[in-house]
Amino acid sequence: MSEVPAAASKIVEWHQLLQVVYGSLAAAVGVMIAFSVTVVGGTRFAEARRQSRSGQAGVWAVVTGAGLAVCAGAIALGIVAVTAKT
Amino acid sequence: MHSDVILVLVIGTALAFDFTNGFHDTANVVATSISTRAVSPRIAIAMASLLNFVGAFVSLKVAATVASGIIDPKLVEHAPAIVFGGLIGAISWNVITWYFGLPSSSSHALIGGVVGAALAANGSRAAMSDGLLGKVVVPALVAPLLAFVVAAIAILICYSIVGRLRPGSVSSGFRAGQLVSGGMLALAHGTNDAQKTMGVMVLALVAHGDISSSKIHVPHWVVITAASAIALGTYAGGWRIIKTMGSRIIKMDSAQGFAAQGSGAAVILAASHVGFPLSTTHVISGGVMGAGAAKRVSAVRWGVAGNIVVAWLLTLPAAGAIGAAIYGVTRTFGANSEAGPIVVAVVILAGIAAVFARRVRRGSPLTAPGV
Repeated sequence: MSEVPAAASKIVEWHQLLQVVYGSLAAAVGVMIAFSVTVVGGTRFAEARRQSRSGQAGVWAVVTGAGLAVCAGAIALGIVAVTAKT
Repeated sequence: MHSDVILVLVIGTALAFDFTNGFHDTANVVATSISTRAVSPRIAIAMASLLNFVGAFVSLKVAATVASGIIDPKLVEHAPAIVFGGLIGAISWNVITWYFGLPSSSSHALIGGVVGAALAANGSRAAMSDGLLGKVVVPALVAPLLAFVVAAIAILICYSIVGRLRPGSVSSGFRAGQLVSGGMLALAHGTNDAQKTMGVMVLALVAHGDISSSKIHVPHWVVITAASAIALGTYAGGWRIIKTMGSRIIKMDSAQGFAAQGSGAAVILAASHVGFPLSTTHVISGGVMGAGAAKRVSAVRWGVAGNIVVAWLLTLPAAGAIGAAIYGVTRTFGANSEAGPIVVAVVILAGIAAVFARRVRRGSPLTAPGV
């Protein structure tokens, strides 16, 4: 390895920078997917209930609940990770 | 023991800077929630203010970086004029950019000012170039781009999932989600920005001899006062936003708002976790532009992005040069003289009042830079 890339890799804290890239990408995209599923589930649940399809409504209720739980879990995990003393 | 007058002056200036940081940034934090009508302005501002306060208690790693990772704290010992010069450099640059409408970063100004004053006092050995490059310059470049990419990916995935639903139900769902994403953004903003002021206050305490440079820590009263100052600034800043924000926001739907806020919050919180002092203004702008560009490239005001780049390039050196000059002026009154900082403070206050009065005469004195 030449001297310049070696110096750059020493100055730039790649490990921490990549942690920020991966962490923010996983958190934001993960929560977005989970919340989008929640919105779809909630909408379909309301439609199924209006049309008295109780079986389908139950399935969509579970999907909505699961999506919300993933969102809440991801946010809680994020706050715990930020407050943790490493 | 060193002058208590200078310490009080420096701490007061730091808290005033923190207040103006909150005041200046309220627009960025609450704009998305209000523009998509997720919440009323009154609730958005009150929530942002409260969560700014809470956020300041979440982590202290950014404060540690500012206090001990950018300039050598040993060289600040017995030299409060360095910290004072840095703060005045940052405030002066903020006022100049505000006057000309440049979307500059208060965080970069603060770091640039302190580094400039330290360089003037001790030469190149004062700056910890590894810390400055690795923890400030590189993350400052990466973070807005990261927020842009993350928000764009998030909104594209969202549209592919909710694509077949009626727009009304999608909007109402994401409006509810924005209560949380907006809250997380305010929390992240408080976490990263309040800590920068805490770091500078710690440097002032090192200079005064209250904290050892070899055992840096952040006292509780520093955390509480910095948290209160930024929260009050956010609350005070909000009321002008209600009047001015209507024409200043990029038109976006609630899913885009959720993506922009979520990506901004995620980037800022992840950076706070590893102690990177970011420009929250630039990150939030990156998220908004990413969410807008993914739907329609022409929806984004690319001129604003260009202004951000110009401001980004200018802020560190310009605030540094002013910080160095202010340090030089205070030194002419004597090494530890109280007269220097007092005279400079009076002159700067008069200058700010004059600039403010001139801007008032020109109109729109309280309009935020266009970010």
